[in-house]
Amino acid sequence: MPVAASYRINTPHVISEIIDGEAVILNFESGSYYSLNESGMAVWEKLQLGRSGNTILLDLQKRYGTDQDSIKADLAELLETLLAEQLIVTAPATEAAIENTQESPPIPYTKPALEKFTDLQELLLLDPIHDVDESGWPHHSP
Amino acid sequence: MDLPRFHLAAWTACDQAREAAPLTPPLWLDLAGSILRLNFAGPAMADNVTPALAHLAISPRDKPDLDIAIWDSASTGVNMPPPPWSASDYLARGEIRGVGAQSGIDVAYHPGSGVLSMLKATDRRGMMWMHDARGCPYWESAAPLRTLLSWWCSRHRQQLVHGAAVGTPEGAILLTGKGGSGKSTTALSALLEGLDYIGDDYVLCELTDRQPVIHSLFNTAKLDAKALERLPALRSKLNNRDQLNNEKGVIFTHSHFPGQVCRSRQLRAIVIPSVSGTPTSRLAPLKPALAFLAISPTTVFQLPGARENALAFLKQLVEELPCYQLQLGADPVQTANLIKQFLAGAA
Repeated sequence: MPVAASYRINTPHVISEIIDGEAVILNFESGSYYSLNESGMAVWEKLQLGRSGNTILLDLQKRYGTDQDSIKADLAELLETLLAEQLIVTAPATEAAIENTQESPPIPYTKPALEKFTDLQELLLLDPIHDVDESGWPHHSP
Repeated sequence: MDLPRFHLAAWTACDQAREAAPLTPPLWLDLAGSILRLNFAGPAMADNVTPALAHLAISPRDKPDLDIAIWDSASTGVNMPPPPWSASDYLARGEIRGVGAQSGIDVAYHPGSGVLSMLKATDRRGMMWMHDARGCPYWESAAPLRTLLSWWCSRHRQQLVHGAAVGTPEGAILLTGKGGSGKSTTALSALLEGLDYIGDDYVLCELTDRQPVIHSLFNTAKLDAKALERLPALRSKLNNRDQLNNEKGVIFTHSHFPGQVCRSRQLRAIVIPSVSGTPTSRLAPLKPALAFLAISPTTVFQLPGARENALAFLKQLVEELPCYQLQLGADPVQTANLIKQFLAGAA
């Protein structure tokens, strides 16, 4: 199912940036943040464009010059993880904008890897509200 | 949600508070080229806000770029009108459900500290309010107005960054990374060894057409028990010596090292400290992606409203500067000398 489906980034809860061949992803809901290696970043870029899993698979096979079965299994595993971490959600396919990319020579393939960090979750914890007045304005006792 | 109506009512209340309170002179600041005028309704909040910003004080000018009103209800006897949101609308980072920047008004409320921040940038005026100035927590006095200043500065190619910065006349390094990595201890060791001190915890980075610049925001230093153990010379300078059971130690460095607290420096490098356990400290080149991972979540997760624009800013900053890991050794003096040597070579 993961490769056959279509997805979108779970905005506005999730934001990301591509840098230096990797993707850094922040999840405001959980306070977790993530890094994706080069092949994971390639998948993430396609997800940002609204590509379906099947189209992403074709892109990866072209990018790495191989149609080995492991790429499909690796992609399915990554999509499942991204779904479980609520970084992407299933969405109707929006395949309209497929750009004409220049053919470039294949590069060596490494399995997509998502690294998760949870050390900053406390920054996104809600402040405790101790006392609230009738108007909903927190009441601060002197 | 009628935010404009609340905004108007809050300003009416603020005007009443300023009339009711004893006349308190405004504090004029030069923050990275923006002239700010802090208008206090009485001295209660001035005592909470002034020490951390005192190093940026300037003589009065004809006109500020931004006016900020600062007041509390307890000392002035004027209540803040009820807000147009409910208690269940408070979100992380001080954000409020249903309140974006409606009508050009930025709003944040931190229930933990009780600080309300509002900015209408097009009117060039902002407001900080809390119910009772006497309840202002130490972390707010250590970094007052940071929400307002973050909003304002982000409109001027400037970004509040979670980190420390020290330097020499040749330039400065930005020390960033998650809490406990050694930022504060490194910055304070450098201060004790005579380096320029730009800030700890929060500093302001600016992208220019040439090299990025780093600006001081607060002259505060915060020390946990471990840092105080390593730097006992700073114990006598603590502002809250009697509160260390509940609070981090706070030092207003401008009061104790006025010649070393500086406003701005050319930024030469991004440095991510980590405790290495080796005897001596050393700098090792770091991949930009790792520097970005160290600087961006810890910055963005703390600032209300910070999102894609902040990430894009930090990406550009990381791409424009060399990045290093500072493998911290046991000798703070050697670490400070290493930074001095690095900056002498980088200029």
